[in-house]
Amino acid sequence: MMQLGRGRLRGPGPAVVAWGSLALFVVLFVAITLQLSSVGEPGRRSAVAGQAITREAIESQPSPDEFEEDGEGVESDEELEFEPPEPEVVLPEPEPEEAPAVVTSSS
Amino acid sequence: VIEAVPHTLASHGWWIAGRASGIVAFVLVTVSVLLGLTMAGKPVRGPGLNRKLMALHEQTALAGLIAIAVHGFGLLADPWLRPGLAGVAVPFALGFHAFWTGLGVIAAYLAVLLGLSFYFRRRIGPRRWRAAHRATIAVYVLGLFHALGAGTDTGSPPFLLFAAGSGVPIAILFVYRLGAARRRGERRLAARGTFA
Repeated sequence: MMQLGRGRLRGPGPAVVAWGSLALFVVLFVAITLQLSSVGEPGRRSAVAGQAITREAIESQPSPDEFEEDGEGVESDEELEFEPPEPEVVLPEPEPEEAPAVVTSSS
Repeated sequence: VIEAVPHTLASHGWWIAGRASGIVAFVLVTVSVLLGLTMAGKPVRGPGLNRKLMALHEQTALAGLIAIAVHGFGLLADPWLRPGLAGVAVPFALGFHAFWTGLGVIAAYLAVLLGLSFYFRRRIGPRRWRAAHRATIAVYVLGLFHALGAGTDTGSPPFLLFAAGSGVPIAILFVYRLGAARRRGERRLAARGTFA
């Protein structure tokens, strides 16, 4: 009933807004969940995932103390520069040459 | 798809809650601003209409504040984003879309301040409160920019349609309201001149 005595109109109750908002939230929640479920794991949150991975990479960088060797202190900042180890060059093993045919002569 | 739902909810449940509540918050703030401008400019009149609009304006504003809080908590609890309390509460502190999320944080604070000031308007003073309440349009504008800049779903056609469909009448009503306020001021000045 919208019409009250003396011709006054009453607005919709707070329940309408509350339930309407909750219903919209549930619909959106279900829709986004289904949308994400239909996409494979690598496709989800690519942007956010990239940011999280970058942050983890920054956080997991070794501290200067970890560069110290044999417990000796680091004296200058220049010594903190980390040089990556040179990659080992692995040469392919030479293929064994075919053994020359042994000629035996029977005399 | 159904088989993947439990896994999606386990890994992204809080993020989904944050996204959904963000859209709900934007819808509620938009409706509240639209109703507020409709009441202020008085483009439509009817018996008891203002009272009805007032009730709806207040309810949508309060529901919008709750949705903003859920939006913040949802993102705070997200194990993937891990924004931390500072990322959610301090403007421009979050590393993800820092500028746009910063606008959202400012909009949230403005929404709380301006929205809840309604209940202290007698203490603040009606004229001062009304002047401050006019700044509520900033909550909508900042929220819109925040959504367009940082929102995951803002590129979707339904959202763009809603933003455009509500933005145009809000802009028209805002201009109408400014004109109405100017007309009222001119009438007041004219009345003073008549009686002086």
